[in-house]
Amino acid sequence: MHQLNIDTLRMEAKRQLAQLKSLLEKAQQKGLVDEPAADDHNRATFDTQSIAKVLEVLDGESYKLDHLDMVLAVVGTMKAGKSTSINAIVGAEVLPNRNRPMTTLPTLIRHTPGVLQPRLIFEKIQPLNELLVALSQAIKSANPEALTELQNDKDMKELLIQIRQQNFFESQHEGAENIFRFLKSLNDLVRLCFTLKATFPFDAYATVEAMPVIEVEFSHLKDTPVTQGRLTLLDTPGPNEAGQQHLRHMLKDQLKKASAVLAVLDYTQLKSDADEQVRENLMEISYTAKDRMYALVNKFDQKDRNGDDEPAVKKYVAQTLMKNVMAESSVFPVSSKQGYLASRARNELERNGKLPNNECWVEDFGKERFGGMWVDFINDPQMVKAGADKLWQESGFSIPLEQVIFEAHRNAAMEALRSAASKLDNFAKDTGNFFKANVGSLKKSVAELQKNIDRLQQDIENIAKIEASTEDALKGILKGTQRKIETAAAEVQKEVTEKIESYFKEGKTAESDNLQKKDQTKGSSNSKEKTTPINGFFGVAFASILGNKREEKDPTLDFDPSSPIIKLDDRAEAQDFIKRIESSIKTLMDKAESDCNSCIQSGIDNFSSEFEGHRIDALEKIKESIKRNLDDFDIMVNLPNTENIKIDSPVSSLMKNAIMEKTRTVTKHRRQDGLWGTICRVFDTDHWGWESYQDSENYFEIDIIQIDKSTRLAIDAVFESANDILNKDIYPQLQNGVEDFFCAFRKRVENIRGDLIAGVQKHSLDHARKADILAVSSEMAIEAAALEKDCITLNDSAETLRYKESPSSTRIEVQV
Amino acid sequence: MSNDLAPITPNSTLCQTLSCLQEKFVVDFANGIDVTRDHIRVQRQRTGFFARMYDGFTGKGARRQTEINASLVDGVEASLKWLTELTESMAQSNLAITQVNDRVSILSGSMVELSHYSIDTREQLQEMAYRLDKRMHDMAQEISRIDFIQKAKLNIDITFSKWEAGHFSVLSPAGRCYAAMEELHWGSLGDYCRCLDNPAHQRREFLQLVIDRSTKQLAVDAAVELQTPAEMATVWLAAPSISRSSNGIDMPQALSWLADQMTIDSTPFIYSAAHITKNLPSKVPLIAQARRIAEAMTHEVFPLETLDA
Repeated sequence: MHQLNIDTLRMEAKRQLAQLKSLLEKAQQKGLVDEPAADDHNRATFDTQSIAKVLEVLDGESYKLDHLDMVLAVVGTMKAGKSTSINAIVGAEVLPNRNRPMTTLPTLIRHTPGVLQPRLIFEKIQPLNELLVALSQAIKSANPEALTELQNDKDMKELLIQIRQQNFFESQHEGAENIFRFLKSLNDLVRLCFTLKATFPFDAYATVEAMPVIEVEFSHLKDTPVTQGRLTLLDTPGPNEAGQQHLRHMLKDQLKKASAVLAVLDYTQLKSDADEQVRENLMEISYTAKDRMYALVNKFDQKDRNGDDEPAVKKYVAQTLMKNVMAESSVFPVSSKQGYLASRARNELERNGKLPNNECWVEDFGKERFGGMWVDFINDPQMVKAGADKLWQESGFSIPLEQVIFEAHRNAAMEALRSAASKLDNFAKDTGNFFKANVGSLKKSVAELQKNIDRLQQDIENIAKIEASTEDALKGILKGTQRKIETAAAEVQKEVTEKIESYFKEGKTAESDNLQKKDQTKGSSNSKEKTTPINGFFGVAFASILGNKREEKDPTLDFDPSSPIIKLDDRAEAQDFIKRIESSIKTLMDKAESDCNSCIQSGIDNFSSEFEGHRIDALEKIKESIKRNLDDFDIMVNLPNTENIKIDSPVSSLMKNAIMEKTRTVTKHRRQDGLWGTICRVFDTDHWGWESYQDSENYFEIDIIQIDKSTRLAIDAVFESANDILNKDIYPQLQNGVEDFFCAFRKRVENIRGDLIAGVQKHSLDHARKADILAVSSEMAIEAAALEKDCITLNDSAETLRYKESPSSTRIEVQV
Repeated sequence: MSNDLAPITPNSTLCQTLSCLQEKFVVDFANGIDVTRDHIRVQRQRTGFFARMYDGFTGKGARRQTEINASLVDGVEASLKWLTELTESMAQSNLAITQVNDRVSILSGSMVELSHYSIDTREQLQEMAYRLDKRMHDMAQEISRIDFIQKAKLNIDITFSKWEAGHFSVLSPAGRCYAAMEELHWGSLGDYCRCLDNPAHQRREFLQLVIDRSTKQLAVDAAVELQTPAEMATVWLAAPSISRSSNGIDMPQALSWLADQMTIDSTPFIYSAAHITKNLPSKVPLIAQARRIAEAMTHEVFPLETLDA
């Protein structure tokens, strides 16, 4: 079959861009484009001002098609060997692989042909230097104890000196060592901010443009033609590295946009939860990035006889760990260390003909390849070359590198293509309309034109009316959804009350049973039961089940049915009890979450169907009216795409994020108050558990009030976050979508009206000039119409290709 | 066997397949007569194909072998005789007759100023002009008669039957489409559509029919679905590997000669279908659906302006 390939589409997009550009330029030269109208609402589709912008956009799209920007995001923990993997891809040490996390800010590593010595360029250094000034003040008022502690840290000491001397950061750093030093001080700076409770300016670095960039030639790509695109690695801070929370949204966004995502997992830790957070991050973006996620399973060289072999690893990671969101063929067991050493050695040999004498990586390489006798071989370039090639092969790196870069190239080409195709589609339509309006208005009389202009004004006003009513509908649905969430919240809270109450009863029963047992062992016959006033909610509840059985409090055994504290003697029993409470609460939390999800989802669905239904109906009527009003012009005004009135990620993942955020603030707040969160384990946070469970000398206390309180807080947090994402995330998205839709529609009609107004003015020209304009416009209208068709074909083909797994015929030549 | 110089006779398969060849030949022949130099231009370098037809149609192939001086028989007097004969026997279309007539008028005008032509020659030319004028007049009447519609329809049917039956199969799909367009252009459909007295809606309807049938046949030939875009270079413009029959070489040459007046800028689709070019004209998309090609070809051969005028 005839398979369209992406490079043909790319070239076609370039041809269309050039055609459209020449058409518009010709229109300009022939005097068809007027000065902008004084009134913004009367502006023609193209005037001298707007056409310049359109031409600029067309040039920009053409440039992007020629210079593909491939971003390969690398995620993973320091321990899994993320830095080493990056170094293996680059073929040089750009990121220090030392024993602590180094990536405070996301960093870009860009393939820059000819740059052999890596250099870090950090344009946006100003906020850091301002921080240095602020910190020097903060240090003065800091707790002296904390300062002494900092002074003992060697790295910190250096930074403190830098702050004291107000040595500002440079925006450029040459060489691996200097880059390392800079990144280290950046890392120290963040740590210091945490200690001194100062604010690190993370917000200033929330865009890709603001990130530090390391430029260096990737040895594997050095012979790749520039037209194949520019590869940039995005080194993301590990899940637990400082600053990550602040940049989380941005990072998620970046991962979604990346041309490919490469996760580095640790082979030796596959069955532990060391990489759990990384995996979770991958799951989160799998909705949009499913087909371009890859995993390197690093340290595969440490496999022993009993370890999982390659097929088993691929299967385990793809199916079990990644729950099939990643294909087995996208999982690659590798040794990043071998890959790095081999590619660096090959790189070094190619550049200098031999390996350097006094660098420690050479020893690593020698030992890895030649064992204890490495010194005997290391100076023989041929042996080294053969050894490096062999090691590279063994490292398992060449296949993933080729595939991932290939995929990144394809995706980058696809992105550039889609962007160009959608812009072309719009502009070609505008261009077609513009010429048609020119032709039509010269063929008509001024009086007729004026009639058309007035009628279009009526249509524009009708669009505004429908927009207002659509916004009302949206607001109504928002309110309805909020009410539903409230109801659901009340219901879940009620269930919490019931559950806790029943556990309280159960706990108290166990407590009293224990006491009874103790009574019996003591053989005490003198135990007296006193009646104590039972107070409070739990007390009442308890009294109702125990009746008068234990009305008196035995001071020695200290059973207090009204006390919210449940005392159990047995550690195992206490733990089991807690576990059961935990699991019930988890169920309730899950229910709360899913209730919120469905409330919001149904709200969105309601709105969508509302919009698709009678709103569109009304709009179609307007469209018809416009068509009638423009009948002799052969202009077709289409409704803008409704695609943007949708939520860009699934509600469930939005919810999950919002809840995480919310509970984080809850726990933080609680932490400040000294109240340790009891909800944390529900969210799988490692450090905070059920602290209300206290171990004293011989009995175990469970504070039910504390549990109740914490649970309520947690549930509230869930519903609050639901309201939050509804108000701050979903409603604005929908509202913007509606606004954009109507704005685009109105603008289109306004522009055509503007074209007609300009047409009226052309009637004042002399006969010969009018005939000339008519002839040129007619010819260009035909060309524009043809181009319009080609643009639609291109746009459709790009979308079709996107959903098809069709390898392009172009492959990036990667030296492997 | 066919070679570059083998004459192409009116009875050849090629001329049977592409009946438009003889119409264009007559026109080119008339346009080649140069009274000031007493000569007919047979520009062998530029269009070898015309020269081959010239030899085949005027029976000169045999004489050339006996090395008779060509300039003697290529004289104006002899040429005019040939033209009269060719026009009578071969030119069927109003298009050809009109163009020959135009040329004869010019020739008559030029001859008035030249003294060396005999009375006979002048009379011959006048006689020819008279007959052409009469034929044109008769034809104009015929074309505006209602039953001429049947002729136009027949022209369409015969043309597409030829295409469907594989008579153009040595050409690329786009080439086949162009070949069909020329058959229609020089045929009754062309005459009907160019006649502005005929109702515009009928002319539009005809062209729409041509577009639809071409679209379908293009898609069938390329084995591409109607809605699926395919590559211009590897699908629409891809000629089958050249067959050994004379058609395999002659037909593409004939196509190129038919398109010798087409420019890359005004008729880019025809240009790329009829001539071998390294790069596609910038106005031709790299990917297209069958309909896009059918529409473009149709409108390049039958420009919209002629309908709207």
